[in-house]
Parts: sequence; structure tokens; C-alpha cells
Amino acid sequence: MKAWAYRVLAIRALFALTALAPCLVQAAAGAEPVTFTAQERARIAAHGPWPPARVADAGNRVDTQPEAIELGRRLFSDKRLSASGQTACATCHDPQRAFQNGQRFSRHGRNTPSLLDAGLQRWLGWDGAKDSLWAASLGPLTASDEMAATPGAVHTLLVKDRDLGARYRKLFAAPVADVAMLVNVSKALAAYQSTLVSPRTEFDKFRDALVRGDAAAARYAPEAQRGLKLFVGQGRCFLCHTGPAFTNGEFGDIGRPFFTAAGADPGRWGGLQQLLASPYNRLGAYSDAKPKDVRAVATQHVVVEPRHFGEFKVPGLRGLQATAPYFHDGSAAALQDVVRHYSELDTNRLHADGVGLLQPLRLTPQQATDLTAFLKTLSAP
Amino acid sequence: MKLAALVFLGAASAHAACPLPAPALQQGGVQATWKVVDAPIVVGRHFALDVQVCPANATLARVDATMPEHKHGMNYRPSLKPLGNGLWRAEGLMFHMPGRWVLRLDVQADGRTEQLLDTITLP
Repeated sequence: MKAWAYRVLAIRALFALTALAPCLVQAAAGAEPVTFTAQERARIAAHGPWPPARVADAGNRVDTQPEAIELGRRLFSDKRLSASGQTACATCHDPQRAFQNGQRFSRHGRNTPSLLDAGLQRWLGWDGAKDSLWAASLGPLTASDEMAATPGAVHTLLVKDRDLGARYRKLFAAPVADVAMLVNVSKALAAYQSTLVSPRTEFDKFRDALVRGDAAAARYAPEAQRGLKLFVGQGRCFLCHTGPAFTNGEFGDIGRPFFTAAGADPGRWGGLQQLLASPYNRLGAYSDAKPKDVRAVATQHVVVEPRHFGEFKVPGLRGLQATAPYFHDGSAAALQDVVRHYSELDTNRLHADGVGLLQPLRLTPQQATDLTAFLKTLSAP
Repeated sequence: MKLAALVFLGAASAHAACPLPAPALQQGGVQATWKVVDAPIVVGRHFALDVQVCPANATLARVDATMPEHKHGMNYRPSLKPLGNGLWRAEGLMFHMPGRWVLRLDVQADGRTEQLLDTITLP
């Protein structure tokens, strides 16, 4: 792009920011108006629009094919995929519970994450050990302490169940009892999971109205507006929980313990070891795109450093109301507990050489209530 | 300090003749300019830079960035590819937080390595 074109884009961007809604947003009749600075409005605008346009995963050649989505949907709830015949993907990722299970722990002292918006994520799992949704599906499908699926058993299922077998053959040709077949099954599962996107929320209506300069912005609850102002202001939550999915997609140490009954959880450091050693990452032979995959740039360039030990993924915040408990170890039962953690943060628990941005927020009771109210508006009513 | 918009206003033109026109970075006997490839820098998304070094036979040895206030760098190490005539492509950068980043370009010429710094602030 020519230099003059950049100038036009920059000028337009600056104009758009200054043309956002008036600084003063009347919250509701009788309530104190909430004012947002131009910088705060720009930060709010960066959390949308929602939902984002779906971008096909080049590493999964069937990602957007309706037949793959349907096969994946069927397999997702099929307990016959597991060696015991008792466990399906949906057992832990319950569609009635925002695709998680509501329990504190599932494996390795970690909370089961929701699958909503999983297709948008660069790294999967609390430690980011997987770089694609299909690889993240293959892991639990074959893990001995989860579904423990084997090529032989899944091949038998696809042969005996003629409907499943026909659907598989249409996408991938006749099944062969090998690892590639399990990868194909995982890619169908991923195609289905990529369709699981959080619904629009009250926050999205407010954000869009604010960007348009629409008076409808004022319909957003005043306590949520005050909480939002904290979120993009003195609370500095937006530093990590940024972008339309409310996450930068990376990892951090927020002062939660990483010691479990089985020992220390290495978090991101361990996840990186697994990722780079895996034949199922985006650089491996099972990816359908390999070097052409623009998403592989992360795997190609990621670094492993000691500071990653005990870091865990910054989760997206959409759909929060349905995904308790919170944090990688499920140690916060309610949103109020999450807010209290940041308000009373014990900085002695943070890495001594780590990120120097976390400080206890010391919220007043009203501020804690407001921030919680805002977080609740990130879920559909 | 550059604001994010100035990232584009200050972008360098490729294949510029030595010496590079202002506002080129300069240290010792080397100069460099840079521009973002294809898109504006967005927090949490990978991007690439085109870096023009002067003299044209200098080597771009390293591209890195840090957030001094937060005491951390990027989670990625950019790869560097010469495009000819002193132009280099740095791929794999990613700024995972808004705020002030210090961009570092290490340029080698005549047996010396010069460190050129610039500031990028993302809102």
C-alpha cells in the first residue's frame, strides 16, 4: 500500500474515533451519567464487532463443509467413540452447560474450558499445548485417561454404523484403521465446534451503539457502564482481555497457585514443550495447509522461556455467567470471587521477574458490584 | 513517542536510496526505516514489518520488541528474510497488549552491530 493510502486510513481512523458517541452517556433516568473519554471509547470499540466473520481453518480441509459439521455434531455426543463406551466429547463439554461441565477439576487439576468461541482461538487448552481445534480434539479422543479411542475401535464403529461410515467416506474416502483416520474424525469434530459461537449480548448492543453515536447506547444498565469504565480504565482488565473475544489469546501469571495434588502445574511452559514436540501441530504432516497456513505463523515463531512456567491462558470472557467455576484451577466459584481476587491480589504470588502490571485494585464494594454487573452483560440474557 | 496512527504516517518507502530520508532511525553509521506489511498493528494479532537498512549491504540481524513498563517482551521471535537492496522482511511479530512498545532493530555493518530503537504505542 502506498504511503498516501496509509495516511488516508490513519486520518479516517482518527476521525472515526472522534466521531464516536458523545462523551457523556446518559445511563438512565435519575442515574448519574457515565462519561467515557475518547481513549476509553476506542478501547470499548476494540471489543467488537460481534460475532466476527468466520475464517476457515486452512489446516482442516473440511472445516466449513456442512457434511463435516454434521458428522462432527453426531460424533460429538457419541459415547461409542470411547474405549469404555461411557464417554463422549459432550460428557465434559456439555451443550446444556455452555460446553463445559461446571466442575472444578476434570484432568490434571484443571478446569474444563467451554468450547464456545474455541474456533477463534490461536492456542487451545489452559497451557496452549494445541494450535488447532482438530489437534485439541484429537488429544482427549486418544488420551488414555479420557476417551482412549484407538484406530481399530473407531474403524470398527465406522464400519458397523453404516450411516456414520457413509458420512465419513463422503468426506475422507473409505476409513483405514490408522492414525490418519483419527485425525479425520478430529477434523470433523473441529468443524462442528467451529460453529459454536457465543451469542450477542447487551454489551454488544451498547458497544455498537456507542460506535454509531446512537442514543440507544443509553439503554445499557448504569452499573454495567460503571463497571465497563473500570474494565477499560483504572482496572486495566483490557490489557489482557482485549479484542472482540475479550482475550489477547496469550498467557499470563495472575497469582493463582499452580501447585496441584500431583505436583507443580507447569502451565504454558509445559504446553509449549508438548506443542513443539507434537506431530499434530500446524507445522506437521497432518495439517492440510502446512507452510501456507497463515495461522501457522504463531507456531513457527513462538518462544519458550522460563517465565512461561505457571502461566495460563487468558480466557475469553463471553458467556461467563454459564461457565462457572473460574480460573484454570476452577478455584473461583462465582464472578464475585474473580473480582475479589483482582481486588485483593497477593503480589507475592506473582513471578518476581514477570509482568509488572498487576496490582491489587482495592475496589470499593460499589465498584466490585459494578464490575461484576458489567461482566454479567457479556452473557446473553 | 509515536501514536499508533503514526505507525503508518511514519512508514518507510521500500528501496529507498542511501542515505534514507527522515524520519529514518540512525545509530553509528547505519540507518533503518520500517513499515507494517498489509495491515495496521492490532493487539493480539501477528504482523510483519518491511525494514529498509542503509547501507544496503548491511545485515538486519535481529528484530525484537519489549514493553518496558510491564517488564516483558513478545512471546514470539521474528524470522528475517532479505528481499534485496537492503530491504528485509521480519515476520512473526505480535504485540499482545496495548500500550508502549519499544521496537529494536539490530543492524550489522562493517563488523559492528548497531541497535536502533523506536517506539510504538497501541491504544
